[in-house]
Amino acid sequence: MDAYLDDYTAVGVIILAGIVLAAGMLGVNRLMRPRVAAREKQLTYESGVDPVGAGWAQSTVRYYVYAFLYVIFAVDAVFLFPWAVVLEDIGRAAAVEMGIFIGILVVGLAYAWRKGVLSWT
Amino acid sequence: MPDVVDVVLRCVLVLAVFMVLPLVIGQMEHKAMAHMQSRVGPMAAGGFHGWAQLLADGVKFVQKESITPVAADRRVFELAPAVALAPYLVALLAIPLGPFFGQGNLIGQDLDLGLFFVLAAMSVGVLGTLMGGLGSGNKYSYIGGMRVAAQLMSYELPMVLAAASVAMAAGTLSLVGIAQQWEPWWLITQLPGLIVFFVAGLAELQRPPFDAPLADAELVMGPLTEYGGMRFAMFLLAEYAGILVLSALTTVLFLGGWAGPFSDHIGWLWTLVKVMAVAFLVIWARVAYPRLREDQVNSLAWKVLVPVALAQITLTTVLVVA
Amino acid sequence: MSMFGKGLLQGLKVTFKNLTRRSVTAHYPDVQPDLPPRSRGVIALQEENCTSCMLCARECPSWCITIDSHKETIPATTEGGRDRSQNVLDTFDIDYSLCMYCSICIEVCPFDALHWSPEFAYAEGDIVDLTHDMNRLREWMWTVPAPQALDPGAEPSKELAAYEAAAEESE
Repeated sequence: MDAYLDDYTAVGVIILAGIVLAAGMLGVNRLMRPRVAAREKQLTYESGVDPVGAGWAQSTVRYYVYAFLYVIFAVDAVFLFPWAVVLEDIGRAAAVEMGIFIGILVVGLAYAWRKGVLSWT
Repeated sequence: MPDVVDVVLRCVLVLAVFMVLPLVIGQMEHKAMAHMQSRVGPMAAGGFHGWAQLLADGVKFVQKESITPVAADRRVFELAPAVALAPYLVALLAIPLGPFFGQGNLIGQDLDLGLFFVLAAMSVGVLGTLMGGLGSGNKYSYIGGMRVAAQLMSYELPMVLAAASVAMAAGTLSLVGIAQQWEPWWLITQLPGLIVFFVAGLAELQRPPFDAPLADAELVMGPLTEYGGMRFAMFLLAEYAGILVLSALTTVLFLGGWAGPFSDHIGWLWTLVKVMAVAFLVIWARVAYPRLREDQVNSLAWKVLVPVALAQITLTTVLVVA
Repeated sequence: MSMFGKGLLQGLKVTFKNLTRRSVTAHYPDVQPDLPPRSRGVIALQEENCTSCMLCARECPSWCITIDSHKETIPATTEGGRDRSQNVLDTFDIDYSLCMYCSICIEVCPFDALHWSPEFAYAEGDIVDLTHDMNRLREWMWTVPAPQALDPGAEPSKELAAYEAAAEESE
């Protein structure tokens, strides 16, 4: 167990380095930047005119379809990776099984395509 | 107990590469894009053909005022650039540079799960742009954020599938292992995968021609509208770091990494040359192609790239098993 | 596939060709620009010719010329002759922050007192310095190019003939 996680000390160090880097960049900025307070600066940008309404807007529900399809195929991909690594050792039967698995998902994608949810964003 | 000094030294080297190479790629973009448009690009900064332009930009950005709009969600808004930038540094850890004068591979850390790890780290970077978009309290940013989310999710998939195809052919997820298993005829059998991976990677980074969410003419700057000063610079640096990671991944996965004459000694140089060549392709694609419309972006992902990636996986399965 | 992706490859080809060619950028200020002859840069004043007729100030669409003068009498040169009166310029300012380089003042001047000079590098830090006074305008005269040569076989101009005749007489 120790030997396996040894590799990940480097990951821990680099994540720390990333945090330090980002904090450093923002910190240097904070030290060097001017600070002139003005009400106009704090307003939301709306092409130069005074902003109207709240900072969010109702958006169409079409984007959720992509999230949905993505989740399905992402789960597929998570199963795909370990299988891909050991494929050569376990032979054809495993290939056929994974083919069936992907096939079922492709049927889902084809259905979505036929239903027209993939068109117009 | 691993050699802590060794680990820290490698991480410092990775950090150095992370700070230098994206600037080189950025300068290459300035100059290559300029000459492709019959002009010269930056000439003044640093004296010789403007080599220090990006450093001057960095100095400029450091001293700019950072404004947080009143309507923005303060913590989310301020953390978004860091969340966009740091994952690329983490991803760079596992990407190998190649043999260094017979001394073994130059790499931050050779993880067994290398490929999986790098793809996962790149996906976290997406969160940064999303946080910026939805946390700005600005309608433009909000719509931009929605579009970014749809685009990045849609293109995550072909990228992962194309990478899985290579992992299948090599029989390992370790990036060093994949580069060592590489055969020149993979250039042909994995060609659809290469194209899918490269195009999907371009879209992941929101590089033109896939920069509809950031389109100047349409959405001001999309999720980046309210940002200025160092935070904006961090988003831009994240874009160039992303180009570096994408080019490095493409090189290691599909182009054989350090394959080439005398690779035992100057393998690292071959990798760098190939990475710069792929980065040049990224810049070339920016100059040559008009922007894709938002619906074209999504339909390209789901109707073209995903089927081609799945076909590539089928092809590789047949080749591996048969 | 070639028919399908032809446009994509064409785009790449065109941009690459442009990459290999020389850029068209002019590297000013390291290299001075190659201006056509008689380019309009700045207006020069030859005050010896000016009689303060005010035509240029009147015709200027931007009202950028300011002229002030006074009369001086020149006593008669011959017995019983009339005293001549001559206009002497006190002020002749051209405000280049207003001037639109339309050439109307130069065209209407009946005495050829105003000329075009190709000098263009007279930018200032203060807008007040953009108003050139009489002396500065006279200085620009040294940069005015020589007048165009007459066509071969053309008659010399009357003024030149009169000048040469007077020069011969005085010798």
